[in-house]
Amino acid sequence: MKLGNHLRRCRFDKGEMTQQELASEIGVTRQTIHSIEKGKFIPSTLLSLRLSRFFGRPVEEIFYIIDENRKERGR
Amino acid sequence: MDKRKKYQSVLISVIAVALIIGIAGLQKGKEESQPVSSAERIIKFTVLFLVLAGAASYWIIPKTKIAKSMKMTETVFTATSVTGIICGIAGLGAAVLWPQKIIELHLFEFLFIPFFLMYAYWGLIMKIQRTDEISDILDEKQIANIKEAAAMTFAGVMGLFLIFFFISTSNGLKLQGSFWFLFYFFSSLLIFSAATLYYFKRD
Repeated sequence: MKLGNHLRRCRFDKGEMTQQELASEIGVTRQTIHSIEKGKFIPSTLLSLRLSRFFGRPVEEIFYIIDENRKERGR
Repeated sequence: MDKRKKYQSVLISVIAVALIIGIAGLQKGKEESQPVSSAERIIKFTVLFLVLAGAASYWIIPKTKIAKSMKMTETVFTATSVTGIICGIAGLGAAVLWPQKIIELHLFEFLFIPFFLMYAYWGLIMKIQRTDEISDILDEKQIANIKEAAAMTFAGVMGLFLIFFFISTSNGLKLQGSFWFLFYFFSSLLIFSAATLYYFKRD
């Protein structure tokens, strides 16, 4: 199973924010945001909740499980 | 003893050791029949000056206006790794080319100083932000990358040492103890810095 996300879409929905702008708001590096978007880095619960609070959306709307065995998304 | 006091004690110990080594080295040079070469003298004073300047800035800078502009950024993190790579390559090169000179001239400390100063800068930022936790200046991905790099360094250095050990024993090479130390020190520094940079930038 992998963790998918709609972070990129969330950024664009919130005034076409850049990765750097989001990183500065959340208090992480741009590289971290980039890696999360690419699915290379799985954020902690704390960071996920901070992103959720920043975008004003539930965590499940930003992150979802990709079940490769079932070939379907978890949302 | 809280963590900040512990860090300060460690820093004071490092400065004290540097001072003792520096003074003892100068004294030894005076006592020995062969005078200390000018190159050695310059290197010793530069190392001592940089260590003392780094230590002094640790106490002085937080009280100045410059402190407000000092932050832990992605650039600082990357620069630290790049510095480590350069110091590691330079140290390994010098250890292979001049294994005896690098110890005699204190070139080993000189080549390590830039990396030490980068970490001193991290310490300075922690002091300015009044935090004892490294997680307050680095984000979770950076900490995860450092952990991955540490594991890679352990495995990498073990592998390198095994290869080197078999080569040296099979060829009957008699390598000096100082060479092994320098090889271990700078290869660890190189692998750790390169791995940290790789994991941080891989995607």
